Amino acid sequence: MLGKLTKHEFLTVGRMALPTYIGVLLIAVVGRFLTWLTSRKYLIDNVPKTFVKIIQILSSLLSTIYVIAFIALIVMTIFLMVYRFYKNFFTDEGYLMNTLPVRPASLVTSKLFNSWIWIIFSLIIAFGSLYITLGHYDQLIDMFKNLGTAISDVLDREGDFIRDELGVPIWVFVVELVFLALSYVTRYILTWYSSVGFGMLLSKKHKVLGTLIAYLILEIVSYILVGIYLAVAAEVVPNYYDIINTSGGKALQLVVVGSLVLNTIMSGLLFWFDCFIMKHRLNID
Amino acid sequence: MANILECKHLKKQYGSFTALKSINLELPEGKVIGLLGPNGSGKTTLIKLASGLLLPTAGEITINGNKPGVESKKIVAYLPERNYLDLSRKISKQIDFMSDFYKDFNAERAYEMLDRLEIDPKRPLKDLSKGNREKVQLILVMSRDAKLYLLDEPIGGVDPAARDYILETIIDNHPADSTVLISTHLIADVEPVLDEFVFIREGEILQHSSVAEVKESGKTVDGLFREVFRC
Repeated sequence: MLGKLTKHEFLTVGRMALPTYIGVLLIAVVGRFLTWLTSRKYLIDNVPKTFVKIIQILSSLLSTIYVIAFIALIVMTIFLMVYRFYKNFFTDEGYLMNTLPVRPASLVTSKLFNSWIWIIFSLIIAFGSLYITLGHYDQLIDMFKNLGTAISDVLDREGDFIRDELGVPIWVFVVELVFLALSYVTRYILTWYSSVGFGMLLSKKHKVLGTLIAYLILEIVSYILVGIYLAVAAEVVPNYYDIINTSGGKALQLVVVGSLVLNTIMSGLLFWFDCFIMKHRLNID
Repeated sequence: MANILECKHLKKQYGSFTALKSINLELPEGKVIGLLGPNGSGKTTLIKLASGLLLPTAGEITINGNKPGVESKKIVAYLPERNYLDLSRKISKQIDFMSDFYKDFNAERAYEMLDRLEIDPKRPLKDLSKGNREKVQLILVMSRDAKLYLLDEPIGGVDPAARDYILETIIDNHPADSTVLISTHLIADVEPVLDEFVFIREGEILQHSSVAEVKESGKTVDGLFREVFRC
């Protein structure tokens, strides 16, 4: 059932998001073409100046539109993520979704999967459109090559030192960072879902306001938890203050591992809260 | 005969307003039952509680012995009083959706009914008139071979011809052993198809009888309703 829920949600969101994705890519392609056109010496020398000016103005205008579309892409991704959860479960569509023979956990998980999928799609489109807009492909490729070389140089020269500083092999640290990013985004998505659920409990009339207030409350709670974690870490970790003062690497490890654990625990709690609301506090108008 | 739906001291409150006042009700299998009462009497609340969209304040409601949940939802087909479908989705995609989630959904039957109404399944719901949207919703519900149909005001707000179509669709398509609970205040229209009726007022069950009993006494359900609910 989870697969089916995810599939149908993917198709629905796709229908809504696809025009924006195509729009952003189209603006990037046309903008790049105009930039290329205005940089052709043959064109500048052989066509009327007014025409060149118009192309240049259009090119600048398109750059502005691209920036707006780029921001719209990011806003749309976050908005769709929250909106779909709200609309599908807590408005009239909830009459269908909440009467399907599936568990609340499957409903929430399908939305979580889809949020992940569309965040990744949005990132691909964002970087793809940036790649098209910026041009200078050879320079970009060189930049990445140089970055790779620089990293491997540092690892060759300072690998042992970094390992000693971190207290773990470097690949373990990289894996930790990847999981930290995953856990952070998951917590972010689930915080919004819980805010929607919490907002429904706070106010039946002002659901949007309720959701925003709930989001603020949950964010404050997460900061309090981070504070508690730091206080507990200072008590539990032997030589905590020595580590913080003398080893930047180990301090970083404490922050990364701590944040990973904290985000995972908070994601679990938020997921449980979402399922609890759907199962025990639904009460659709 | 076993009961498909049972309510024991079922109570529902919205803040300080009591929508259902500790009701007891047993609905048997294989009957078409009218849930009859004026607006605001608690009909929709009872149906929502049975479908799992609302949670009781006190008491219990069971469907085929189960509290509303995954098991009950497998056997309950629910038609709300409002549009609940994604209007941008094509009807055929909506049929795929229903087929994916309900084992008892008969897609062939759905397409046949659409064909009879000359509704193109490739069209999105937003392209249809309000009346046709309601008919599509009914078709989706009645294309299931459910054990319990909960139909909330299926004939409210439609013209008499459409009422006939809707009632025919309900009667022609529900399995013989299933129970159909139709909530309405349009008594005269539904009376011919009912086996039993439940009168509900201000959150209380006033009467639950068979239509045959009323007829034997020389009355009609519509007439009795007017007597009981006289203002």
